[in-house]
Amino acid sequence: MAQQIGFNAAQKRYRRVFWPAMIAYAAIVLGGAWFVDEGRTPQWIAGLVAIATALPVCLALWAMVRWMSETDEYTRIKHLKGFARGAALTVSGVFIVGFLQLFEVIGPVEVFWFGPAFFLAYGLSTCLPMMFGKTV
Amino acid sequence: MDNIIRTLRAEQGWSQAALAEKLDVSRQSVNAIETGKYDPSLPLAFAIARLFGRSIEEVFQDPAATEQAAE
Repeated sequence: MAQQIGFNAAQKRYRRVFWPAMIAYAAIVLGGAWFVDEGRTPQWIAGLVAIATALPVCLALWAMVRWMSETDEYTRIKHLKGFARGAALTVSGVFIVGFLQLFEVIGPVEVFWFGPAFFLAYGLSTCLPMMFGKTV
Repeated sequence: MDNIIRTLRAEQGWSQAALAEKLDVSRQSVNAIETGKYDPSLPLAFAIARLFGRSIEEVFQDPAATEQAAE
């Protein structure tokens, strides 16, 4: 686990990984959509493009967790709580949707959407308590 | 935990952002500590006291202890 290095240094280290990862993600998403022709591109190539598209997001997630370990104590506790609440909400959603599918109440749901749902839940879980005057 | 950080900061003419920069924490951290919504760890409390050239007891007061002393 990374050691606390202070707010400013942690911010710098985070940005050095996060922004290049997001630029790579945008480029691969656009490039992949152009490159992969459904039905014509061999499946193994489509698979490689899919993994290559997800990797920058994995890298950004790793940068977020490292940033939480390295930043100042108040920022860390605030974001760790938001991260935990976001994860709990998302996993709860996964279980609910999963059982609804198992009991054939609903049709198939794209697994992809659980990723953005997590980031949304994390963001809201971090911001909403602050909006209502609760700091940590 | 009560504290006199806002007063000490005003004496120095520092903004919350300036104090945050000196302590290497976020501005929100300074605000949360000043308003008593977050109690800093001992290392951060010592760093704050050191920055203002005060003892930790001068900067931070335990409200329960203050009440006991008043009784």
